[in-house]
Amino acid sequence: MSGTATRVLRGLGVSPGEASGPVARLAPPPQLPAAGGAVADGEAESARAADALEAVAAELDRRAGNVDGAAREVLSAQALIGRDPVLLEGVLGRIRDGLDAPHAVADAFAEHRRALEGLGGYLAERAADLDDLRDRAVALLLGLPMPGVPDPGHPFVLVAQDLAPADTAGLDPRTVRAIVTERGGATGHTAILAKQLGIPAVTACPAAAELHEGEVILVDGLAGEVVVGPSADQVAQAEQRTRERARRRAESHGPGRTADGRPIPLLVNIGGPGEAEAGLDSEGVGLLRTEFLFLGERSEPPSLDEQREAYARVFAAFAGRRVVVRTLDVGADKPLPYLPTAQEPNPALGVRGLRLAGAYPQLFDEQLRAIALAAGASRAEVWVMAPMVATVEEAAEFAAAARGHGLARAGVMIEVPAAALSAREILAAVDFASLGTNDLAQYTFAADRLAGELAPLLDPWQPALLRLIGAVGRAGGELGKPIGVCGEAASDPLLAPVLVGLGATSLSMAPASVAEVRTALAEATVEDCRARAAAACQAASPADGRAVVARLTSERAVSLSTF
Amino acid sequence: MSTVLQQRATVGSRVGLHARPAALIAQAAARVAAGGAQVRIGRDGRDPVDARSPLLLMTLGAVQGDEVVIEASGDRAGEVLAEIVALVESDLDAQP
Repeated sequence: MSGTATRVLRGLGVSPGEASGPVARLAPPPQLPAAGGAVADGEAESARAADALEAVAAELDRRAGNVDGAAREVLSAQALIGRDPVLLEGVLGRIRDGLDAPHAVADAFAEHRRALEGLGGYLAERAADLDDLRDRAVALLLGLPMPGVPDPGHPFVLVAQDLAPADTAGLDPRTVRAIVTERGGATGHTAILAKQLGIPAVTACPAAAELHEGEVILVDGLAGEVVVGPSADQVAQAEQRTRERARRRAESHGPGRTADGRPIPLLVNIGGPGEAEAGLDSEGVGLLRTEFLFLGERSEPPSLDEQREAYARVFAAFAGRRVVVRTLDVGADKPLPYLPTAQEPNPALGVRGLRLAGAYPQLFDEQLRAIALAAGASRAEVWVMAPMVATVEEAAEFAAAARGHGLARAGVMIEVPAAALSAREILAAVDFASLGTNDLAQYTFAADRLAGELAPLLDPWQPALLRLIGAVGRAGGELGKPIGVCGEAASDPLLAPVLVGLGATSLSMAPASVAEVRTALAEATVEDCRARAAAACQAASPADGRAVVARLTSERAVSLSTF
Repeated sequence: MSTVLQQRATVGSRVGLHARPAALIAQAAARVAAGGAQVRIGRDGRDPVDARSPLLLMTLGAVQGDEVVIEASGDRAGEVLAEIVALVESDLDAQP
């Protein structure tokens, strides 16, 4: 042993797996010092500003060279804005007026930002793109770390206060070994993305603020632990466990079923055709998010053909298996330039999901048409469901629209408590339901998913949430309709049997979670699942529920091994 | 004082004069400027802006089908004008 004491930081384990590597921090946007001092040499200051803008543009060009398609065009266009001669003139003019380079750059960008914002709509959206250029140039001028995901040229552990969707869009699992964030919860964006990519992650770890650049840490994404300066032994043991885990996963195949043989299809959540391959070791797709087609750098909705082709690619990958397509789920928090929505103080409670169909019926109709066309030409078993359904009328209307397009299986997401309370009536109008446990928790507990300090309320082990899931499960059982779970809850190997005990007939999760959930289900009978469900619902707290179910689970494992 | 040539053109890009189209037009204008020609683009009721600047082109707020006024002066102004008009009228957002 080296003898040096290691520190262990604790957070929430949100994406299982262990990995170690040097810390690379996601730097926050640079803060401008209060006021620049007098500029001694205006010419040198001008040259500094011009060099910084050029360096930012050159870096964007370099990154553009590493990607293809739309991403490349976006980066190249950004680079050209960095080289905008009028922007540079504005910066140089301000330096002549006595500003130092960082303030001149920030001020010149602010002027253009205001002009774009003033135009509203799509251009106002683009105004935020200028902030990235400004932050990069200002960071260079102040000698601060470059904002955004670091690119140190070797694998690293990404450490951040929190990750925004824009930060995580291009994360590469080959270089990002693990993720540690100070904020965030069990169901936040970082957790979902990390699981999707199979990157071990710990969130809600405030002590991560003390981690230094380059310091080696060992991250355990199941236990929620971060070991600072691990010993060689600790790293070797973690690597050994990772190999064993990979081996177990490689050996775990086939359909999901309980110990007594009840089939529980194990499905995957994917966000587009690009993720289909990772999900092939499953019985299909329980949640195909379609936002990928509508978000990003586009000023008009995808055409019928573009949609049809994208769906067809996923359906082809899962020929002979189930693919549940969720229709567009956006709202004021993910505004689309071509779907103007009112500014809403509470986007999560606003016009989102199926509610947008009222304002844009044609868009939703065209999406159903594209899904139906792709389904008709494929061998996948295509189901379609609507997000954010609250009432029986909404469910019935959606089912009628889907069936009108020839889609045989129409269902709804249950993520609004009102829908859970009307589960029987809603299920009578549709063919199936899928529980979106993340949003269901948010709406049941009146706790914003983006508010890190409320994360404990969003714990999928909250007894009240489990009781609500149980009510939906009972309705499904009585009407003989499938009830899926496609939230983060389904990927917890300890919770999966509980969900089955509550009446779930299929579970959908990040591809990386399938093998462990499969193993957990194979070790519990339906009766075991019911007993665990009852215990979890009666628990005093999420921690209590976990403890009592963990005890029941290990007792069962002992009794199985004594046979 | 060189003459200023003017021609009206209809924006052909689906996204309008934003993002990639604005960048491509600005790139072309910068290239001809190096050869001694100046290009400005305006829209009804707005002062023409220096076409080398993607930021100013975007603030024209021109969408597909809008008419803009293109001005060229300096060396080879006629050819330059034709080149920029053609760029503005084509769909620059179409992927190659």
